[in-house]
Amino acid sequence: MQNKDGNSLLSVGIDVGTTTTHMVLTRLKVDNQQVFNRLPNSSITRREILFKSPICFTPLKDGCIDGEAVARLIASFYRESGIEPQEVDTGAMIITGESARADNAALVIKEITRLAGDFVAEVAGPKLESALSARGSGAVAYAAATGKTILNADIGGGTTNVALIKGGEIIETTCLNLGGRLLRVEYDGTNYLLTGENQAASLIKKKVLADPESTSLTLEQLKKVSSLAAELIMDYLAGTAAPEYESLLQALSLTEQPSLHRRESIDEYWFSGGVASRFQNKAGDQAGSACPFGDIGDLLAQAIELKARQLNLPIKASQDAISATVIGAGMHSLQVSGCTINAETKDLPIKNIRLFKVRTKARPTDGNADHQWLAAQIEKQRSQLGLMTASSEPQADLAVYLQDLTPEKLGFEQLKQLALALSHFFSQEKNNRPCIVVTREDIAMSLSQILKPMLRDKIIITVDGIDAEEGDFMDLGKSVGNYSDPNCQSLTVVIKTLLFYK
Amino acid sequence: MKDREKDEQLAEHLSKFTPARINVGKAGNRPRTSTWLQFRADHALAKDAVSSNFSESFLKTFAAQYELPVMETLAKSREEFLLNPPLGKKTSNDILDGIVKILPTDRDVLIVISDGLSSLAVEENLPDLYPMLLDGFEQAGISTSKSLIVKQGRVAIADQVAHAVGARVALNLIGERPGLSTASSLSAYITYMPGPQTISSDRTVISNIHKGGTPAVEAGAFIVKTIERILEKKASGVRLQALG
Repeated sequence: MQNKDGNSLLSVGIDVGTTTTHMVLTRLKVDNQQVFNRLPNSSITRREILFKSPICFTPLKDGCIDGEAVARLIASFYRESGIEPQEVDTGAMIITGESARADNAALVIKEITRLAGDFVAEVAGPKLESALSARGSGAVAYAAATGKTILNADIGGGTTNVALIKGGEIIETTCLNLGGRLLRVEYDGTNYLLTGENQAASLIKKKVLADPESTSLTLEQLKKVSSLAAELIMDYLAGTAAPEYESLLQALSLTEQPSLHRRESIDEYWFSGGVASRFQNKAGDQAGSACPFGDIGDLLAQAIELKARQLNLPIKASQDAISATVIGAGMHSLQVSGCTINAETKDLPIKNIRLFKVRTKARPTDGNADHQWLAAQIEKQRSQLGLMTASSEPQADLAVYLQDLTPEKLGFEQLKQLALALSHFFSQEKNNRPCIVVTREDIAMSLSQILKPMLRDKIIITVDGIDAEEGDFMDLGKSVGNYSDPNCQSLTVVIKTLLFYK
Repeated sequence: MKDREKDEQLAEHLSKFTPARINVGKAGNRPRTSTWLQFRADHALAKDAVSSNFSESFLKTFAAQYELPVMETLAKSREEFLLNPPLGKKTSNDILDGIVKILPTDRDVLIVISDGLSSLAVEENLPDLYPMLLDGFEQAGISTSKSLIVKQGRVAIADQVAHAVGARVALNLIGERPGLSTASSLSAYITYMPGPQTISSDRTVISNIHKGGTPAVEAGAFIVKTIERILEKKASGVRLQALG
């Protein structure tokens, strides 16, 4: 994956949304940040957009995404950019919101992966999408610079992806099944004829319309639906649902509910996504022009602005709001590992590694306790996922992500106890796949040293400096960064989720 | 949220970027009493680290556990060491002769553990770092001499002893000069084929080993890898760097 100068990567972001499809190509620069006398470290130091595609409607066929047509669209984006898919080093393709649930999404992904480039990760899943859109909108960088608590809501056609950010760290991601394409309509000169609706729509119509079954709606009725959708969204963001809406919000939430009563702590509300790009657009007041995109996106945008004014909440639409998700996918899906890790080039890259998150807090503190606690946690997750056990899943790569380690737990004895539990687990795996361990804390090289004599006939890969809290899968790329010391290397890592596997 | 709370949130956020004493407030035009006391306490810790010998409990537990001999330099006391630093670079011929008798010769690595300017750094990091080194050297097939603890030692003392016992690499694990943010930072100085001719640029250094920097365990694994490379390339310091 080393490019011409060894330190720059070409990354693609592709967003196939409920409503629109677009693509960005970006150049990421990876540089060493060497402080005198300290171990070096690499990180992404510059992100530059090289190409931005036009925003096109997502091609549909029989109510589903038309995989072949989407692939043709992506191919035309590449032609326009003058960049070949083979030149791309990394990136992520997101099948967002509603479209991820469409029956043929897996097929679509297969179709596009052929085109997108070998290292492009397929990403779907509401939580990761919330995180990427919050990075793409610039909210995370702004929160990091100012220390503020920002709530980023990316309202697209199908869903509202919410990330709560405190001082640069995303502390909570949730997703609500409401978006601008709640109702799809066509103006017939007097009324709006319903041409399609999302499953959330019937729940909302029941609350506000006298005849929820009607297929011809007035502007007033559309506004009522939009107004309730806006109210639900704002309640969801602030974590303060009125009692009569609690069960409705529960039904519409695609993730766990956001933490309650957080309005007090939020400094600013940022909005991105297609709906936010329609903020401050007044055209919708005139009859016939209220729904320029054949949906209620504009009305929803107005309703949210009104609701925010009533609540006296500080809101703003992020710059280039509609592209937040695709920019997040192109620019922020890649992580660069720490430099003291253990991996051999011949074993890389590895794609689609399933992540098992292990709570090290749950480790028995008695030194003489058995080492099965870690394997037990993984087996439990396996059975929850309906996966087969170790011995009978020969081809799947898996990695253990060690959570909640603290400096106090990074001593030699503690590490050895962890290694014993890890080797207990890995030695039961009957296949010959590498034993992969991922951490956030700087312990990869020491952990591999301790593991080596315990797992003599296995390949051991340990990678640190990675935040994998939001992901279910991981792609390990090749080495980046120009270290003068060959004992130092950093890997590119993409954390992702594949919704259809669930 | 009230403005005051927001200010506090921002100050707390900024404090995360530096161990320096920011966001501490003031009382009139002076620091608050609590700030001043904290400053005095940290300063005292740094001074103590500089002026302290290895604690008895450390020598009794760690040195005894690994059966490490304790050696002195030309500096006979902490005061002498601090007032006349060059004395810490060498030991007397008598002591050296005695050491040569009990240390195995013709080994790859001699590990020397020196108090330097912070015995605290040694006491806090060695229990995690030392077993990583022993395991790592054994796995890599690198032979070690018997390790030594040196009182009132400076960086160059390891070169003198390693030269005397014919070790190919001198590894000195030595306490760094304490600052006001940490008094327990350790460095590893590594010299290939050390001797009287050795100068600073011949040494490879891995520093900033402490809880807030490179963890002791990770530093241990990295030191092993570095020495493996030094033995393979037959060079350390800037010569090793130039090899890339």
